[in-house]
Amino acid sequence: MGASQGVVRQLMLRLPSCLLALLLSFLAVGQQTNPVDEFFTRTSSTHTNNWAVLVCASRYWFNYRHMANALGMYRTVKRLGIPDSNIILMLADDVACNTRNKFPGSVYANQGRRLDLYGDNIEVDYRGYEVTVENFIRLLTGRVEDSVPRSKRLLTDERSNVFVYMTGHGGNEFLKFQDNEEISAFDIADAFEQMWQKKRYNELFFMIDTCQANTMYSKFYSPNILATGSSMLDENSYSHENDADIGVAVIDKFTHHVLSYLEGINKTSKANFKDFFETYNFETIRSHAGVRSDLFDRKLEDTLLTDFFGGVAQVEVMDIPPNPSVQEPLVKPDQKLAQEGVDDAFPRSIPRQSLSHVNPPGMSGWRLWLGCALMVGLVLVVGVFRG
Amino acid sequence: MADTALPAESAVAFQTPSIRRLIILSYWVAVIIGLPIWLYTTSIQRLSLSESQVISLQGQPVDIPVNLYLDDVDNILANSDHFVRTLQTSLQSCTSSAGLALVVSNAQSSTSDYDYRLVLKAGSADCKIDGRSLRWEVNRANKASLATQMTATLCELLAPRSSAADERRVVQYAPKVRLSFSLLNEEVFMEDSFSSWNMESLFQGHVAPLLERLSPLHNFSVESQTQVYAPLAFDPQRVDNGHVISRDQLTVFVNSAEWTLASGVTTDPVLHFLLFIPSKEHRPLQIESSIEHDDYFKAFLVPQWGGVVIYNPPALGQPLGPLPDTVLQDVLSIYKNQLLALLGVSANCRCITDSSDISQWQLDALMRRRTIENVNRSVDALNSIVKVVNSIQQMPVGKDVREDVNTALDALAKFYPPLPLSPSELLAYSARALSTSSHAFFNPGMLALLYFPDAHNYAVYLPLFAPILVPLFVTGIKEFKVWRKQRKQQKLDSHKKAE
Repeated sequence: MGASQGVVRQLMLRLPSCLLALLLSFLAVGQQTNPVDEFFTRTSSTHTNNWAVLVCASRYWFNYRHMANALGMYRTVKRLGIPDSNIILMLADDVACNTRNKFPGSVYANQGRRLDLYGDNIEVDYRGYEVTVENFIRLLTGRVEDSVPRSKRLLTDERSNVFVYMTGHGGNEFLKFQDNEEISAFDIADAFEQMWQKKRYNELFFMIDTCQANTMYSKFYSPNILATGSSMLDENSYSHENDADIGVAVIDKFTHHVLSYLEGINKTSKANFKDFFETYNFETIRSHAGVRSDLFDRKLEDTLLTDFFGGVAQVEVMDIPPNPSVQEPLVKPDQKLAQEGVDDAFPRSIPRQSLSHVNPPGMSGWRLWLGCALMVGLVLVVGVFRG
Repeated sequence: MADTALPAESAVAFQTPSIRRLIILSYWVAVIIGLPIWLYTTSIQRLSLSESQVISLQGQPVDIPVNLYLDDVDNILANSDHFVRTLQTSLQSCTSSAGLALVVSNAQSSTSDYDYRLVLKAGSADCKIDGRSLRWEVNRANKASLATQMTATLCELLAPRSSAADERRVVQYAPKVRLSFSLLNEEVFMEDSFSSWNMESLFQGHVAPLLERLSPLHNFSVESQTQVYAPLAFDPQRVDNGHVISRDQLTVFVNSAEWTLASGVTTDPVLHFLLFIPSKEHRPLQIESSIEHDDYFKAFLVPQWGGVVIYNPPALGQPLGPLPDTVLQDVLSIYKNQLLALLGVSANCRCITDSSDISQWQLDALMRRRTIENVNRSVDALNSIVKVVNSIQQMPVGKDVREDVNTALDALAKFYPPLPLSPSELLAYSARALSTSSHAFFNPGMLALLYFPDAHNYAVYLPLFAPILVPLFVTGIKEFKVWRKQRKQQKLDSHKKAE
C-alpha cells in the first residue's frame, strides 16, 4: 500500500477520534513510559555485532548540511570499525552530484573543505526518493519484500547493538522526510518496540539532530534504548558554519560537536557515554542537547562509545599445536578469552514485557460514541438557537 | 408572529415545501448510506490469529524422547535391571535440563535406527563410539563404580553442557549458511607473498566431507577470494623477534573498512575465514597471549563471525606464487575446527571415535539442541506477533500471515508432545516452524499505518466537514419545525372544521 494512500485512510479512520478530542480537549491522554525493572546492572556489553542506520531525511541543495551530517557519521562509524555491510546509509538527496555543487562528487563538512566525506569508498543504500517513512519503518521492522537485497536490510539479531542516527527538518514529535511526509515519534517508538519483540537488537542508541529533537525520543517505551537529541521542545538546532565556495551551510552544530568528539577516539578507546554526554554545552551547540537513559539498563560510565560506534570487541585465541595436521580436539579446553568479562556472559536480563504503552490507536468504543453524540448535540444546539 | 411570517416565506419560495423536504432528505439519505460504506471501506483487514493456541505454547517445555538400550553382551552385570534404574536416575538431571526425555532400558529388538545402544563388554577399561552405539569395555575388577563412570560420559555425549562462552560464540541457527574464505596479503612484495591458493581442489578433499556430514543441519554454500593488499588498521607492537598484536588490537584486527569481505549475494548468515599473510617487515607476527608457541600459524575466533589464521611464512625468498598445498591443508584443518566451534559442535569425549570428524552422537546432540532452540524461537516469534498485533490497532493482518502462523503451529504441534522421529526429522520440523513464524512476523503487509497527531486530523477534516454539516443540521431542524407547525395548524384547522 502506498504511503499517501495510507495517510488518507489513516486520517479518515481517525475522524471520530479527532472530533472527540476537539470537544474534549481536556481529555488529553498523557503518554506514559514504563520504567524498566532493573534486575541487575550489567557492566560490559554482551553484543557480538554492530549495526548503524544513518538517515538524512531532507532533500534539496540548501539542505547540504544534512547530507554532510549523515556522511560525517558514516565516515566515523566506518572508521571505528562497523563494516559497510552493517551500515544502512539513507540519503534523501545526492548533493555530491547536484549541478549546483562546485566540487562535483564531493561533500565537505567544514570550511576550507579539508576532508571529502564522499570519498572513493562509499555505499549509499537508500538514495533519493527511496528514502521514505515507509521504507525506513520497513527497514527497522524487517518487513521488506523478499526481493530487497541484503544491502538494504537490517539483518540484526538479539546480539546486535544498533545505532540509529537521523537528521533533517523536524518539529514537535515529528521529522520531515523528503519535504512531503513526516515520521512521528510514535511511529519510531512502535518500530523499536517491534524490533524488541522480535529480538532484533541487544541495545539501541538513537541520536537525532533536528529542531526540537528531544521530543522525538520522548515516546520510546522499549527497553535497552539510549537516546540523545540536539535540542529541546521549542528550540531550534542550528547549522555550524558556511563554506563560501559551496555557498551553503555545511554541517549542523550538534553533529559537528559529536563528530569532533568522536574524532578523538579510536577503535580500542575506552571513552564512555557519561563523559561524552557531559561535553554537551549550550555555548557550542546553541541548544540544549538532551539525553534519555531511563530505558537503558547499563550505567553510562560503563557504556563505551565503541559499543555503538565501533565494531565488536571479542576474540578467542586458539592454541595451535605445532603440527596442526594431526587430529586435534575440536574446541581446546584452554582457549583463552581475549576480552575480560567474556566469561560472565549475561543472559538477556529483561523479560519481554507485555506492551504497556500503546499510542492511542482508534479510541475505545464508548469514547467514540460519546464524541459523536456530543458533536451532534452541539450542532443541534447551534441550529436550534439560530433557527 | 410566526403565523404571519410563515405563509410569506412559503409564498416567496420557488420550491414547494415537499420538494424542498425531498432535497434535504436526499442529502441525509446520502450521509446515512455513505457512513457505513465509508467505515467499511476504510477499515483495516485484521484477521484473527489462533491466539489462545499460540499463548498456550509459551513456556511449555519440549521433551525430546531419547531411548538408550543397555546390551550386556558378556553378562557382566549381576542385576541389569537394577543397573538400568541407577543409570536412569543418575542421567536424569543432565538430560532433563537439556530438554531430553531419556528412557534407559534393557536391550530389546531395537525399535528404530535412531535409538542409542550401550554395549558392555569385558576388556580393558575403554570405550569406543560406533555410529549410535557406544561400546564400553569393562574391567571386571572395578565394575562397582561403573554407573558413575558412565554417567559423566553419557551426559557429555547426550546433552553436552554449553558454557557462557559457547553461547556467545555459536551462531544462531539458520537453514542456509554461507562460508567465505579469504586469502589476504597485507602487502605484496616480490617475494614471500601469495597470489593465489589452491582452495577449490583442497576444499573438496578436506572440508567438503565435513560439510556433507553436517548437511542435515545446514545447507552450505561456499565462496572464496584472494586479496593482494589488505593493510592493518593499527601498528603491531615491535618486539625482539618480529611484531606482536596486543589483546586490544586483536579485537580490531579485522579491518572491515578496507578489506572487502561482505558478500552481498545472499541474506543468509555468512561465516568468514581469513588467512592473513603479514607483510615482510611485520614478520613474524605474533599474538600476545600465545607468543610462547613459536610456530608459523596463529589463529583466533571472532564469535559468531568467523575465524582468522595468521601465517608467517618462512623466509625462503619464494617468488610470488600460489600458497603451498601443505600449508593450506594445515590452514583448512584449523578452519574445520573453527567452523565446528562456531556451529556449536560439542567437544569430543574421551572415547575413541570412528574415523570421521564428528561422531553421530555429537551430531545428534547438536541437532536436538538446535531443535529446541528453534522451537523456542518460533514460539517466541508467534507470541510477539500476537502481542504486536494486539497492541498496534492499525496493523493489518492478512490471509498470508494467518496461513504462516497456522503452518508454524502445525509444525510446532509435532513437539507437543514430541513425536518419536529421528533427530534430523525433528530438526526439519523445527526449522519449518522457525522460518514460517518469522516469515509471518516479517510479512510486508503487516506494516502499521502511520500515526498522526490529533492536531493534524482536525486540520484536515474540519475545513472539509464543518461547512457541510452545519447547514445540513440547521436546515434539517428548521424544516422539521416548520413541518410540525404546519401539522399543528392542519389539526387545528380540521378541528375547527369539525366543530
